Amino acid sequence: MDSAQAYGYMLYFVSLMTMGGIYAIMCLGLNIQWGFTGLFNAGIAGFFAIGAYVSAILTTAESASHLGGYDLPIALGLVGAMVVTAVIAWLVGLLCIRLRSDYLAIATIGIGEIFRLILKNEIWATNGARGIAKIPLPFETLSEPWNKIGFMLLVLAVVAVFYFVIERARLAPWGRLMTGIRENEQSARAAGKNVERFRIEAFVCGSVLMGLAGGLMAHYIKFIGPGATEPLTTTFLVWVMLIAGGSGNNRGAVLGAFLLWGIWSFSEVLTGRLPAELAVKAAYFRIFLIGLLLQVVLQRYAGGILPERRPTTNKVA
Amino acid sequence: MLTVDSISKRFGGLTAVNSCSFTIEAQSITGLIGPNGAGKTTIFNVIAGAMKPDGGRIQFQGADITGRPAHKLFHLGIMRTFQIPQEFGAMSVLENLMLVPAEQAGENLFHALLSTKKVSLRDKEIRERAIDVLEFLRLTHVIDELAGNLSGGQKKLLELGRAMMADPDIVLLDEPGAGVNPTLLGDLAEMIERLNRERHYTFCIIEHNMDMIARLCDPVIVMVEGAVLMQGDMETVRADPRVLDAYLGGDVYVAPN
Ligand SMILES: Nc1ncnc2c1ncn2[C@@H]1O[C@H](COP(=O)(O)OP(=O)(O)O)[C@@H](O)[C@H]1O
Ligand SMILES: [Mg+2]
Repeated sequence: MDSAQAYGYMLYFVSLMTMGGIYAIMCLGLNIQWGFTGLFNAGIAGFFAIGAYVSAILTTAESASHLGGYDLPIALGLVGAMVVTAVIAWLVGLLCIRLRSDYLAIATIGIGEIFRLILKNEIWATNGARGIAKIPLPFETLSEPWNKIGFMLLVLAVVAVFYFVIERARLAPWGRLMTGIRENEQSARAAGKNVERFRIEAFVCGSVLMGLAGGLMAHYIKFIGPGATEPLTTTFLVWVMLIAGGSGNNRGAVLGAFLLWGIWSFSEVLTGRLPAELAVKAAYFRIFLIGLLLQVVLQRYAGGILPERRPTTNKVA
Repeated sequence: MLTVDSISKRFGGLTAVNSCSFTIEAQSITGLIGPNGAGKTTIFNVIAGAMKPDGGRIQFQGADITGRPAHKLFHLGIMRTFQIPQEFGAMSVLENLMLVPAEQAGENLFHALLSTKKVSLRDKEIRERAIDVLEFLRLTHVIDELAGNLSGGQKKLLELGRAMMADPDIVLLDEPGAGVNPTLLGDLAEMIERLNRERHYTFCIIEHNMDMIARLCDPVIVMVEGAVLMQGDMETVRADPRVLDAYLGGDVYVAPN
């Protein structure tokens, strides 16, 4: 292996870790919603898209083709992405949170798609199908590969921080309460818990992470357009990651994200080598394979690779 | 303490509770008996806020609580258990108990993350209380077991355990003895007596075990077809031919004496 090839592999690894990390943030968010609290959010793509566009609009240089840009620091863009996603998730929560789990899924699919359609069609704000380009990348002044490595480390640090925060919250009375709501809503009510309020809280917390992931993705690929927020590569993939990794288990959520992203990305490399007329079909074949893989994992590990574990008296799980 | 005034509850064409009225005195242990389908569980659901009545009023400690949601009634001091156990299945038995108490600062996300000292002190307190309750219920050996894996009788005991964690003013027990090991039934009755005597809990107990009702309850309210048939001490209830009549064809034989 010559050094150019080694360098190429290294860059590929860095991109795997970066993308895996961004998905891990979404997975942790879905874990709060579904894993802890039993909320079936099927509109991940919508919250991801909101975060991506908000951060893009806040941080790009002023442009005639879309709203802003406001040329703000990237950190503020990401904070803005989280704040806007939180407000929108809260409004969605107020509307939908009383719905039973299957209806919540249907409602969030619809709402997620509405967000995406708005972002696609409000051309004055988002430049429509042509998307927003020239989104700044952190560490841009560094030369390659250090800018990419820097961004990877930033993403991994965000994953680590949220992992510890969410794990602590899970083991606190907060997490216990959320899982109580998941396990038996009626009994949680009889024990004095304001089920609606806490479900909204979990929904907002999880969605904020999806918005943050959207923001990070926008900065990473430096461009955001409708194609980057397809439900297939957000909602569907994040669900598979969480279920395969282990719903209810934060380590499982992170593991599932990196593992599945690795497989997804690798399958793209493989199908990329197919002749062009097969390549279109291959994209569908990848989805089929991922679904099949999920089946196989669940046959062997019913609760995912790292299933949920409850704390016990002799050790904290 | 608790007054049920002409409460009605219909399910489609079926009138489960039909203008039902009774009063539960503070610090009493009131029995609520009647054949299956009499509407006993439904009246509990209405009192505890799990269902809204179609008519009538409920007063608790002087306040009108009709139609208030369940979680608010809990904080006013009303705790209920379920006839069909409603455990938190995929959580440990200890967690099932620790979840219940009010005033857990750690239920607030910011406190859970930032005031960890305060939160863990309170959690330790709650844990010790839960361990006491489990000892009382002789469930210590399943403390780490997932509640969903318990036997039917153990789940019933856990229902009671959750009520004990709540520190309520009034406890509505829906068939606490059903499926519980007979050797434990005596303990159960004794425990209810003690909670009533020492902690001044008021109880309202739905139960088909007439020995238990006879031992614990005064007065006893008899419900038939959604309304109160009669009310009195167990002797009076046993002596009333209408009660026996109501039960005929039912699953419980009320010994005439
Ligand atoms: N959620 C419900 N939906 C429809 N019918 C119900 C419901 N709950 C109870 N019922 C009906 O109401 C009547 C009274 O039931 P219930 O209160 O459970 O009686 P009990 O507890 O005295 O045995 C029964 O005929 C029962 O089938
Ligand atoms: Mg009943």
